Amino acid sequence: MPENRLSEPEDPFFSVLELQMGPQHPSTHGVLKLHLKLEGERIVDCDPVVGFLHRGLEKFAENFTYPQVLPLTDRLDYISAMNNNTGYCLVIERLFGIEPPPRGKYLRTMVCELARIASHLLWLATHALDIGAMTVFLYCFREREQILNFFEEICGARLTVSYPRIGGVRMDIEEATLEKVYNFLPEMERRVDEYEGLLSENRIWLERTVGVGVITAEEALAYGLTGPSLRGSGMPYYVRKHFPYDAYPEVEFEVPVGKNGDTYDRYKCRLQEMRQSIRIIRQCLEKLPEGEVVSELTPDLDMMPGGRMLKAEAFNEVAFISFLQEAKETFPKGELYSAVEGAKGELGFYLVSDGSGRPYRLHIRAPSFIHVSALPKLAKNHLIADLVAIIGTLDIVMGECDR
Amino acid sequence: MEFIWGKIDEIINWARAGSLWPVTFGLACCAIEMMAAGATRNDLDRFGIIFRASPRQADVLIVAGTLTYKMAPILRRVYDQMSHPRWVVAMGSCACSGGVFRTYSTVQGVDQIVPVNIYVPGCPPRPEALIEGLLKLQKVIKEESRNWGPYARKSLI
Repeated sequence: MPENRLSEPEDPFFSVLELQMGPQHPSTHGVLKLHLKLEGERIVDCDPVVGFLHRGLEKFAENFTYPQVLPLTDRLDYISAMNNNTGYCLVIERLFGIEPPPRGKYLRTMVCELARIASHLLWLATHALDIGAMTVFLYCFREREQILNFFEEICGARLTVSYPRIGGVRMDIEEATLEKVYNFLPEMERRVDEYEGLLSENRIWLERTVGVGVITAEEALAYGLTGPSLRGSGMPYYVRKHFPYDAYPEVEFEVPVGKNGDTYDRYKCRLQEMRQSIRIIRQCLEKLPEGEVVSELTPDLDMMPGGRMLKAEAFNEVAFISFLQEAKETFPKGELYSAVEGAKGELGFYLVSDGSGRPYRLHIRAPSFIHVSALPKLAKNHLIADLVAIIGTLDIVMGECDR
Repeated sequence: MEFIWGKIDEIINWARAGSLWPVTFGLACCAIEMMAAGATRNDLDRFGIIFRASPRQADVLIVAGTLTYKMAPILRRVYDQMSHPRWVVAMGSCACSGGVFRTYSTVQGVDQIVPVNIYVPGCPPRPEALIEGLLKLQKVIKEESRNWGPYARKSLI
């Protein structure tokens, strides 16, 4: 359509305005740049430009031993770092054929769900702020700070946690902290009700979200959407259900799905997911088994032949290459893919191991990157004000998208 | 005469330090902590620090996160768009020195692109650390002299 009309420049009522939105824009959730073609205020074409936060993380990871890569995964989806760590640990655990002890599994599941709640809170805060609801932003950050406090008690960091480790978790959680988390759950449930009371039947919210950014289940599957963006269209695909890991097979939860695949349904889905997360955390805490938190079979990956790291004097290129050659037969080889249900969608880690104790290739299937690709489809024929809501509803994190 | 200039300095610096408006330049993880600093618990508003979306209205540029070579020209443009007087806070290890990301695409410290007044290290720094940095910046501003009117041109970069 626009191509045909572009060929008629004599039409006095028609002109296409090209507009660059971002990369420094408060509502593009980071450094996403959108090349827009506008007809009045209607979006004719939307072309996302990514890569403004490309830090070379995948290539960078090839220089490190397996445990050293773990802190880098924190910086992917920095809003729910626990899920990233778990995803990376799972693929390494599969490579070595180890499994965390039950307590480690349950603790991991618990912190993952806490991170999911924190991520959804941040999503709701920024999404609502973009649409104009300032109060929700302030409310959500209040609860988020509480969850970050728990993380701080658990591992000492707020965002970049590195708490799940290969073969379990870093250390056991104190009884007092677990109790605090348990007491926090009913409060959180009330808070979710409160957000829903603020937004779900709010007329402005309905006007801004219902029927905006509609995508059918088939189209969403074709684009490769996962997570709440897919489930909002009514497709109950859930990595936690279909390819369960850690303690997920042992806990009960439902898969919330939407119907219409619009922004409102995705919002509903995420709020329901927060409730289900609370349910999972409660079950984890009630069923929490005693015992070790790290598997005894975990290989000491830092202790490679020749010491923890190369000696400083030997740290030149020739020595390093021969060291890698030497180490090549030490560890298992193979190509593995392992996915977790991150807060944004299916977060997959594809690892190629050549037996050197360092990833030969580590590819990260980042849901945000795939969601950005669906943006042109969702934004077409909407007004520019709705674009802000659509970016918000996809829950994009550029650290993960650009890697 | 010096006494009068000193008094004028004092009044101007007091006004500037009391209403620092930063432009939101959130790049990566640190942006989340910057938001947390502005939100409910830490509440930067009580220091007169209100986030602005436009560089034209802002006094401070908080560079929060990893700066890549692709993003560097945009940082410089946003900095150039800010009106004088302006200050820069580098938030986080990546902005200070490149941090862990010693890679082909990462700028090793934003001071290669824009002049930086305050460095706040940490990966990411806690909101309290950012508040500390901004209070330090207020201190720096209060010690400035003749950074106004025709004199300001000397300190333009």
